[in-house]
Amino acid sequence: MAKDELTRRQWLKRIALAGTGTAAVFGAASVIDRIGRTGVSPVSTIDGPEARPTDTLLGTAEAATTAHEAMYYEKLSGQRVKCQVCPNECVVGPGGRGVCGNKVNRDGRYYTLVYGRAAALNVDPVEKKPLFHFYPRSWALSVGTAGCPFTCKHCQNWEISQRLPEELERVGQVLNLPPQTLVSKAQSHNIPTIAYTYNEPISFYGYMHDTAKLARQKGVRSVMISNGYINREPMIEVCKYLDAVKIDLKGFSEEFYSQYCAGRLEPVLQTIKRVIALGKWLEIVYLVIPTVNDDPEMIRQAAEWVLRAGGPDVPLHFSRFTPAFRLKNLPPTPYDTLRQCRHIAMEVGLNYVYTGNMPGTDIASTYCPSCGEIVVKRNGFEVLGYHLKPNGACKFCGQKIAGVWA
Amino acid sequence: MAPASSAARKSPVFGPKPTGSQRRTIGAAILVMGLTALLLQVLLTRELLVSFFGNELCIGLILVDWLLLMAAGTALAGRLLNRLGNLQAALVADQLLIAVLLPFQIYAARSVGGRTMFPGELIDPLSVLGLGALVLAPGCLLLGAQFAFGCQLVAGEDSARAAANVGYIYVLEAVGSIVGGLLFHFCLADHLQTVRIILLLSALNGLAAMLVAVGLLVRRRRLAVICLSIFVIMTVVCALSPIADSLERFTSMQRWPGYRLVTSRNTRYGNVAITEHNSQISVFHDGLLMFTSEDDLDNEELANVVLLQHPAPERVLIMGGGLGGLIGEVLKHHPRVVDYVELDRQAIKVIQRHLPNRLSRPLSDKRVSLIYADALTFLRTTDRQYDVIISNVGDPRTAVINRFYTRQAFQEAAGHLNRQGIFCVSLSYPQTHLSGPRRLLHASVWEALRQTYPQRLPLPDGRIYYLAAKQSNLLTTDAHLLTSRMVQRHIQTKYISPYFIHTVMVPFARQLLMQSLATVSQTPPNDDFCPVTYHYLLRLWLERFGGGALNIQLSFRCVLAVIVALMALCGLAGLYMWGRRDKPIWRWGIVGAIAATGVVEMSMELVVIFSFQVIAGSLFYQLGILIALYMGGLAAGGHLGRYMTTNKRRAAIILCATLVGLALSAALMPAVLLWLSGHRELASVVLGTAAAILGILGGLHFPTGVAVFALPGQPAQAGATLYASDLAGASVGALLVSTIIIPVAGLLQTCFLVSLISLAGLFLALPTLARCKQ
Ligand code: SF4
Ligand SMILES: [Zn+2]
Repeated sequence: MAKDELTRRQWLKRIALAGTGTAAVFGAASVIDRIGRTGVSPVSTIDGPEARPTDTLLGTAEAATTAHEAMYYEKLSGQRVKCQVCPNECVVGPGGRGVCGNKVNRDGRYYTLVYGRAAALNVDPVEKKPLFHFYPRSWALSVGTAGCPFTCKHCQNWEISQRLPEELERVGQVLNLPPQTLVSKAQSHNIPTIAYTYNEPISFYGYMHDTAKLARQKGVRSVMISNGYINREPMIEVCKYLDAVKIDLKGFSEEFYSQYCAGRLEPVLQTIKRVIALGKWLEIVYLVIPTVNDDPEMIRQAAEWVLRAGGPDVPLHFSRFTPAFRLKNLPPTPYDTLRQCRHIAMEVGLNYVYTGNMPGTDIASTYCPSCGEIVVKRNGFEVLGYHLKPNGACKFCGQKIAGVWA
Repeated sequence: MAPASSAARKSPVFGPKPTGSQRRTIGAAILVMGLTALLLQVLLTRELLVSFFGNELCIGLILVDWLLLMAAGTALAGRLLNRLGNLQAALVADQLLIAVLLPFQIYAARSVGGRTMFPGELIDPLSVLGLGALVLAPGCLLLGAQFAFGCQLVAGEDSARAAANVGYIYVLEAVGSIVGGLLFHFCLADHLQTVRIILLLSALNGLAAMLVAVGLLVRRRRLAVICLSIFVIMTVVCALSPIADSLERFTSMQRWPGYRLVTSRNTRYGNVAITEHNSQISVFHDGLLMFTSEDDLDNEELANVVLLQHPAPERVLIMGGGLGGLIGEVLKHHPRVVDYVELDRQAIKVIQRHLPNRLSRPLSDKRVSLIYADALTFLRTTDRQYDVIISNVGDPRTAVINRFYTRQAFQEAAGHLNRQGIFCVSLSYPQTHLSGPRRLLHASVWEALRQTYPQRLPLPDGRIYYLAAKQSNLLTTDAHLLTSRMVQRHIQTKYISPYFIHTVMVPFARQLLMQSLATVSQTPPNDDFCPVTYHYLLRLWLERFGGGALNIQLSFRCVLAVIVALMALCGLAGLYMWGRRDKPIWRWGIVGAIAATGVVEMSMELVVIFSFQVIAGSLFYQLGILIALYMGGLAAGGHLGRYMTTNKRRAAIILCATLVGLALSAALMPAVLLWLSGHRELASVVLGTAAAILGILGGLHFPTGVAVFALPGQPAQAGATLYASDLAGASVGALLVSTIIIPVAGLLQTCFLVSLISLAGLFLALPTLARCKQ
């Protein structure tokens, strides 16, 4: 009896708040955007005796909408389906799921359970993605869902990437943000870019695709923050609507990919080449794990490969590992290791090599390859100085710096 | 081995009764066994935790391994007793094997973490159980077997005295472990490193084997003595020479493949290891990364997030985690006094020696005082007041650390804050989302803060920093105000800038967080007596290995339901056995009752230890004494019980009375604990007495159980079986109580549940009473 009452009350509360919730989230976002551009301090919300729990944004979690049919799959005999989004190419029987856990075969049709269902949402500087040559100092509305085709042992986001959608739905953690809502909110609050990130956008391909397509129509940019584990057709298709792509090169051996990520390297390399061929702005991130994938020879090979595939102007970020998920008992990457990696890649001939998550302006700034001056001065993800003309040319010597600057 | 004569197979070894000197020899061997068992358990558990992961579940799993393997050793040897011809030789061989294998077990325990898995990878619970068992098996099985051998050797033919003689072994084993426990706490832990202790222990076992060989062996005595003396001399030489240090180093290095091991030291509270890699110094405590020399970002963030909130932080208290650079960052805000409290003096000394100058310099600043104490005990005893208190002890992965995240701890801190004071506690978080057990974990801490401080401000960034103030309108998210303070104080940082402060103060993530916490607003607050938070962290740990399916919301009612069902089952079983009391099935009742006693004893011991830590603090010596008092009670109870074994009926009555006594004392315990929380200074005395009483009750049950259970001529087998079931019960108790029941039900209700388990045991024991009437 008492229990019934409780749930009923909760339910009512939810209904009452459902309307205000989404609006409130983006009320906050507008404030952020203001700081992003003008540095005005935000109105504060502090929890105190006066603040009731209902003042928060409870209620954005509505009941899941009907499952959405997945893109890129093939129907096989016996009601089985074969997903063609990523190289896992899961063959799934009725009632079954693919490796990424968020798609389900219902009576021979393949559905995604995370379309419009955001498990993580944030607004942060585009430098944090990291994208260094893409509209510096702008903000990105970042969205992620449940599921991932990989199972990296060091995943920072394992609490969504390695969970099933319903595990997150059950506790009311998921926000209902169908493409229209997401785009219109970004629009109305002047957030110029939507980033598909956190878990792995390839696993929510349809959601990303539709949002990016709509965003393009509405003048909002889209960036895909991905591991690059995707098949040719879907990548070519979504690239039509993307403005930039970040791809992780998690290591440079098949052995590493199979041991630590349960994936393969080759398809990732193919994707990188494809993005370059399509002329999309691309930045590559190599997460350096000490004693695991920090062998200087491996780093050199990776850098050489990037140079061959995309020329010297593809930015390469060496980012710092911090203990996460199952790799908890390794220390973070030493600064020196990261500096060495950067040194090797510069030696190989890449023009823009950065190290992330460590202090220092030297290793995070963009140097003009022609005159050697700092053209974008950064510390961490903070931009301290900007010496580019609107067309992206060096203010000192006029050399065009690769990137999408304005 | 010499072929057993058929006569030896049947009759007890010494004919009717072992002589006094023979008994003393065996007694000495069992004393050494008790001592070895305790030290080995303490040392290997510590080593395994460093190799695996030091949370309550791993501690529980290793304890389970230990107890079950001991039980298996005893039970197996108990079955072999009649088949082994020369039991004396078997005992000597057993002791010698233990002596030889001890150092290898340390080696195995240290290599199991780094070398067998991918470097740095957490090990899943099943592997913890399996690998732990592999490492522990040799010692445990052999030690368990010694118990059975000892029982058989002293049992004698006189069945009236047999149970008492078996009880003698039980008592001596308990005495041995008291000696071992006291030795460890008051002498070895602070002064000797593990390998040295183990080598000395090897030598001691060699000596004991020699003693048994001289006293009991009939044939090949001289050969045995010569071999053993050589062995003893060799190990003593190793132990006392630098060889021990080299072995210590070599075995420790196994844990850190790819890193240069700067030093590894065991202190009384755990292991500190310092590694170096590409000029980065990393410090590990019990195998977990404490900090590195390159944590600038975290330290700058923590110091600035907190101290900028206060207009003029003059007096700052830092509880834990200050060595990696936090103190240096705090000093940049020009406080007059910085008190830094750390528990482990030895560890701090070792770390300080190896820190780069940049990090060790702030520690010798004259404004900084290092205080070696349990931070909560320090707070309870000091009258200092602070402007800012930073609790930085790491996530609550054990019950001991959990104490820093409870309502009571927050209140204690609040009591030492000035009117404008600010308290900060932080928890790790994956930066974008809060889900599953992690959300409950944060909610339980948040709720505890909410009940204590009128104003709270959560700031999610690299971690979630929970700020709290005693007055409303103190905390601010006005980034301009904060950054202007930063400028005023001339703070130079590597990473944190006004821009950074602005991004942290953005309300978006904070609102999302509040929304997320509001969805679980019924989560109970973390409380000293109901420490839920570490349970959630355990569940999160389990989920890393795909334990998401296990993610059921447990509540006190579920646990209660399970235990009541168990009671009902035991009641039915008791009735059934009562009805068939002339059939041998009643003996299972005894096994069950003894197992229940094992569960109850272990659970209550844990309750006493947890309560002591909660009420009095994590005090090393006192904890040692507490455990010694318990073991002392056990020995005394065992000894007392031996006088009640001649009459089966009386023994049965005592056995049942013991269970009633346990049920009563468990039921009384909550009242005692509640009273104590108002009289903390009496915690040692009262809980010490409670431990001793529990020990006595626990000690009584064994000899009386044996007396009732033993079939004529087989007291040693009875001893082995019951000892094994006692240990098995204890292992169940250890695991369930520490990982689930205490956090879910709370300390007080746990006592109540344990009391029910005693009653279940009583139901199983009652049929025996009926039988013994005849
Ligand atoms: S996207 Fe998911 S379901 Fe499709 S192939 Fe990849 S892992 Fe399998
Ligand atoms: Zn230039």
